Formats: sequence, structure tokens, C-alpha cells
Amino acid sequence: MRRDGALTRLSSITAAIGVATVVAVGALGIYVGKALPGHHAGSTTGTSSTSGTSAQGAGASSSQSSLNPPSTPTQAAPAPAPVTSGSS
Amino acid sequence: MSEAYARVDTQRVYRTHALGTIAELVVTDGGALIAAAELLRLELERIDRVASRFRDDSELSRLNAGAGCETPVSADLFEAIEVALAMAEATGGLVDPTVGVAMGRLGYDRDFSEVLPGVDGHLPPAQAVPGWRCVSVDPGRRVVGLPEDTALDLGATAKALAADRAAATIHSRLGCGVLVSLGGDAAVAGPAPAGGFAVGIADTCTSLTASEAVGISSGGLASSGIGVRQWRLGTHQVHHILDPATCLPSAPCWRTVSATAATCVQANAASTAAIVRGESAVAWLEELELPARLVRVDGSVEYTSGWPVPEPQPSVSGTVAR
Repeated sequence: MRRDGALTRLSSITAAIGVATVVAVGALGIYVGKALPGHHAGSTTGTSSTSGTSAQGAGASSSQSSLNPPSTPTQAAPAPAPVTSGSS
Repeated sequence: MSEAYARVDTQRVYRTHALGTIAELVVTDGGALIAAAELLRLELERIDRVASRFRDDSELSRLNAGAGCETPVSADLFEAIEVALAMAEATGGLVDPTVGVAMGRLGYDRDFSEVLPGVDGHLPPAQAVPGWRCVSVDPGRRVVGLPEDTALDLGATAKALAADRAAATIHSRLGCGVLVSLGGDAAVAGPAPAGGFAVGIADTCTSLTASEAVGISSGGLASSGIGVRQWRLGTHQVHHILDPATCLPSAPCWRTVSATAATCVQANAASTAAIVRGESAVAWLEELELPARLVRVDGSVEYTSGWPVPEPQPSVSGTVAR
């Protein structure tokens, strides 16, 4: 009986250590994530943010510090087109 | 901005002059065109009032004049600066907003129409820009700090941001699919027509003879080039895309680069950075999986994966030529 009790206590302690480890790793991840470029942690220098301004729709994703391809393929189209892209 | 809107092609397309270039609007619902044009006008006025480097009364001019200390700014200018810094980071510093002073040293400190005839002066010695990392931004207090002798030029990103914002606003307010093009920097929002919004690809956005066209259904398409904003500085011919490492016009490798991306801002940053990168631009764009078309200064054309390469046209002699 005493041995069963000890095993039960040991199992509870192991579970508690596991939960605490998960919580600590998560907290550390959030802390590191905020410290990396692309996020603000109070006043920062030379970094950019995805938060806090009045961007609407596409403007919001424009503040991400990455270059990503369009979500749909660029297709061939017949020329002439009503709009032209070129140097301006 | 000119108020003389002109109707072009069909009732769904409008064109006007703004920001020293051409603004074009295409909507999928012809009934929404007038309301969409008004929303575009408001966005263009806003970006000009906030981010123009050539207006003494713009917010950006006041910020640059206050270099050396922190300046409170509007949400609109804060966003434009955040976007510029994000694109500087995304391009490894090749599209850097701290080129303002360098651009002025080359004579481009006023509307381009006044620079085009040529300006007196000498080519300054090469020196690196202050660098985007020296710009401090505090979103909590919404203040921006510039070191002394530093000025921001948001020309590389603010126009594209305006296109992204205008397209998103028009779609969200009116529900139609829309393409907004500002000087050839195009943004799309909402449902696109079958095959996408067709955009001609040429050396200049005013070209009426674009031989290629692509269809885009999302994100943005932008073109950067050294062929239009060129002027004479003393005895030197210079252009407006500066290499941040030297503050001098980037070495001529590509005449025009067009790219598509998730947003117009990103497409613009990619095409401008490609001009600065020179020969390594193709591999860089391929690595980013960005569809692009690059025209060398000799006129030969290269494409990255994902850009629809036009079919070779049969020549008169029966052979094929591209």
C-alpha cells in the first residue's frame, strides 16, 4: 500500500513537471517571438509591425516583412489590355 | 490631382492623373464605377497629403524637417513608414526609405517635371545611406525618430500602398472586384473576371503598344525601371533607383522588371530590389517563387517560373522569334 501511494505521488509529480515544462516553453516562445524583427515590444528601432495601424485589407499584409507570391497564378492574357504596367 | 476623369474603353474603366503619374481603375460592376472613382480620389489625396516628398505641407516633409528628434505622426504616415521599413527588411535593405537626402543631392528634390530638363551639379561621392535600421518607430506613442541629416523617401512603397489600400477599400465598400493601377503599380481586390484582370506589360506605363499582357486575380503587379525617371545632373545621366550601398543610381543591368506578389507593395519592392540586385535578381526572384519578367538594357527578356511566357510568334520568313 505504501509503495502504491509513493508511485501515485511520483506520477502526480511527473505530470506536474510535464505541465510546467509545456507552460514554460510556451511562455519562452512568446517572449522570443516578440523579440524578433517584425514585432514591437514597446519602443523599437528599425523594425516593423503587423499591428496597431489603420490598414485595411491588403494594406495590413503589406506591413509583413516578407515577399510572398500571389495566391492565384499569374495567367497569360490577350494584348492589348485596358491597363498597362511599366516604369512611371 | 487632375479632376478631369476620362472614360476609356468601356464604362468599367476610368483613368485620371495623380501623384505625378496615371491612375487607372477597373471594376467588375459598371454601376459601381463612379463611387469607386470617388473612393480612389480620396485615397490618392490622402497619400499625397501624407507622404509626398515634394509638398512643403505634407506630413512627410514635416517629419524630415524634424530629423534629429522624435516626431508624432498620423496613423496614415505611421503605416506608410512601417510598410517602407518592412519592405526594406524583406529586401535585405535594397529598397531603403532613407535615400531621401541622397535623392536630393542628385537634384530630385522637386516634382519630376521640373527635374526632367536637367539640373546643375556634380555626381556626389559614393557613400552608404543612413540605413532603415536607424529609423525608430514607437507604435504605442505613434512617434517616429530620424537621426540628423536623414530624410525618408517613401516613393518606392507609398504609391503601391495606396493602390493596395484603394483596391481593398473599394471592394469592401462596394462589393465588386477591382483593379487599381497607380503608375503601373496594380492592386487587385475582390472577385476577378475569368482569366483575371488583364494588364499590359511594357517599358512605360503610358505605352499604348504593350505586346504582352498577363491576368492577375489577386495581390499585385508592379514594374520598376530606369528608363523613364532619368535626368541630367551636370554632365551625368542619372536615374531614380538608387543603390543604398552607394547612394548613386544602380548599375544598369535591367531596364524594366515586372513582378507579381501577394500585394502591390510586395510586388513593387521585389521589382525595385531586382533592379538594384542586377545579375543576381533572377535567382533571387526564383528563390522567392515570385513570377517576374526582366528586360535587360539591350532589350532581351528573361522570365522566372510562374510568369506566363508568351508563345513565340511566327515571323514573316517562317521562323520563330521572341
